[in-house]
Amino acid sequence: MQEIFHASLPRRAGIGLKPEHVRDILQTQPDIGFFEIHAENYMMAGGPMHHFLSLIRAEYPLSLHGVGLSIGGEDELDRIHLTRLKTLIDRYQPESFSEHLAWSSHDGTYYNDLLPLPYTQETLDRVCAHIDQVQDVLKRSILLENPATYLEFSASEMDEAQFITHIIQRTGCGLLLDINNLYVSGVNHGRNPSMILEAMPLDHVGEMHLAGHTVDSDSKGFPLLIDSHDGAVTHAVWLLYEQALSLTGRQATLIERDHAIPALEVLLAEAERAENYLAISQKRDCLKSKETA
Amino acid sequence: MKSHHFSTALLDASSALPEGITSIIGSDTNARFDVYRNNVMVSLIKVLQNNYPVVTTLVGEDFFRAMAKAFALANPPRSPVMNAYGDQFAQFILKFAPAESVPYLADMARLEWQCRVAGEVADRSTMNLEAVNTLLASPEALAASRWQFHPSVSLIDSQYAIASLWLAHQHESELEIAQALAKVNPYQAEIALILRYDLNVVVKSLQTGERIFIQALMSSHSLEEALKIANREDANFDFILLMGDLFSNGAFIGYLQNGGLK
Repeated sequence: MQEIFHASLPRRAGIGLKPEHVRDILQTQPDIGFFEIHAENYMMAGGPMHHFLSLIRAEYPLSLHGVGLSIGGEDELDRIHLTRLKTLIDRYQPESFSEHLAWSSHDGTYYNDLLPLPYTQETLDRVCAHIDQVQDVLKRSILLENPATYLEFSASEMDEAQFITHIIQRTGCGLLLDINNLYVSGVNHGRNPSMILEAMPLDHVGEMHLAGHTVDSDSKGFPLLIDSHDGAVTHAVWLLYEQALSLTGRQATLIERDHAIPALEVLLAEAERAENYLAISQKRDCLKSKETA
Repeated sequence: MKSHHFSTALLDASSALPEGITSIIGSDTNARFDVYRNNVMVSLIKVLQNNYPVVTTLVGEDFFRAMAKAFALANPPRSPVMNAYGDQFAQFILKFAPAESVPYLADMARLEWQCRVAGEVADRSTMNLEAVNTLLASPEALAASRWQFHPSVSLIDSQYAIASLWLAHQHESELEIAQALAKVNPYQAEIALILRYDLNVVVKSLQTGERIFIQALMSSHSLEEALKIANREDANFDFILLMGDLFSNGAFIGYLQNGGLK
């Protein structure tokens, strides 16, 4: 089934669906490209969560974003969890399913965080085997998200862009390019985020994420950015987004906010800002194609 | 790097950092590892707070965070489905000595857990009027009928007024909550009925006879048998009042007749 991924989310801005906004959305029907949900929040049998998601799904494209598969983990994938995921995908037929290049479970314990892994031949083989398994069960290609990391490993044999490029080549999955993660990791590891961006397999991007981060520093005075998802997208991340779009053209783009959830209007305004960047990038694409013609 | 070392260090702040982790030369690797430690613990505490909002209010956020942390260290999640995390919390609270001053805390946790379960069980259509009318037309069939509850229906027996306390905490404003709480004697034993009607979880306090009647129906006694048992145990049992209440809250999905659900 390893065919090339074709993103089917509209190349527009979307926002995360929050239970506190659902009634407002259904009433006002905002013009937004898509909604994204965390798969794990909808793994119950019935009740209000499914009721409202079904109503939203009837009106909007949907992106399903998993946080619990632990694709980068040493454990075997949790088959029960994979089955729950399959049930959810069958129920809602989302335009896209994505997961993380990270681990969250070990020895059966779930840590509820996206933890980092060394980039070695051994971990590459394991991640690819896990993605193959996921894609076989779900019968679709997935998008894999680059992580925000605070640490690296001396065992790593390649950088993140190389590691992800190998995964994409071997499994046929696509890339969920999280611009904020790219920026956070770049700064945390003392590298230039622009250069990491350019090294990424940009032909395989199926979606982008934008989010806010918290600026901190460690006891030695080195910057330590935290991928906190609790505030507005920062200026530096908008600039990196603009650069990314200049390299990839229009992409489905999510405004991610998981903590300190503001009023719906605030998220819609940030999505509109992303739409402006998308419009500029499209204009540039038109000009480029005219030049080549 | 073995994830084993990494994961052990995540939950044990006093343990040494796993070998083989690096950060920018000269930077503070400990501080960077602490971001992960903090993410794990803060997120698990937040999940528990979310799943147990009234328990949180009863003890205050600071106390709750300390209790939730102790729980998470002793019972880390085994599944990524976080809305199902904390099913052991009530048992933990029961043995958590610092919480002894709030004796009804563990029962409130049981109640909140059942509310959560009620909100998530599969959707079932409730009994329709036509089925009720058919039954009412034949007194014999009515007496012999065995009723099926909606999967969200459950009961909790407590030595404390957990249903009234829970209901008081559902008010919007602090003032309304305080006024409602002023009318509750926490040491009054209560039986809580929990169910989901339409999209909402409903909690009610039951009389003894009502509890006995519902339990009898749940253990497949016929309507007539259940009525007999309830009347025997509670002279004040009001059958009509309870049935009206149960119907208007969609408590039944139907009744069994000739092996089929009507």
